Amino acid sequence: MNDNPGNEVIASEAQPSPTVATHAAVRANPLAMPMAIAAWMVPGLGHLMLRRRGRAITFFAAVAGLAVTGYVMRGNVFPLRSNDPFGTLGFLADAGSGVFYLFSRVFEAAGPDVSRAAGDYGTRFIAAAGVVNILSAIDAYEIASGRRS
Amino acid sequence: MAATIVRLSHFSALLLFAFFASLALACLTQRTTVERIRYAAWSFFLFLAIGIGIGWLMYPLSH
Repeated sequence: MNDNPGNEVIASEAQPSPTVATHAAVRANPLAMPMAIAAWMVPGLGHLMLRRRGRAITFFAAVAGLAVTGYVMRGNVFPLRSNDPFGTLGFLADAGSGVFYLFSRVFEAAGPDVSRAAGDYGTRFIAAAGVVNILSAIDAYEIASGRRS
Repeated sequence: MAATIVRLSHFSALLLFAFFASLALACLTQRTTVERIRYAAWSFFLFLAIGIGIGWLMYPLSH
């Protein structure tokens, strides 16, 4: 129970809320969004631009490892247009890997083969690579906007 | 580019997935190097333990 509600009001006026501070930080760095897009296009590039070399190398290795393993296992790559909602979700996940999605034909010259378990696993690897890269792009955005260190 | 096809066993695929996913999750969630190594090792172990555990749970269904 609050005996003196007046003090609480004064305290909240004295310090800006975390939300207001975060919005100010985002406005302060107009490069946050371009960095996030760069991080999406080339895994690790956003962190490299932010001088986080260790994180950049780790994210590139993780996304490249998952995507290339998925391609050589002949996983399915979902196209942009699909009649199936799950196909659209699959496309969004796959496209998350940026440059690895664009060059999927190069990596997977033999084409997909999901008649075997390996091909089915490959599909999950490719989708996981995209999801990991989207998370890394969000991480780069938050670092650039000052929300994370 | 010549078509490269790799035949991985189920366990090899599990190992690779666990390794790369643990690496990324540790980097995303932890701040210091020591914390990341610990988290990645623990996450890798859990991926394997839970994967093998679920495999054994499903074993009766295939027989």
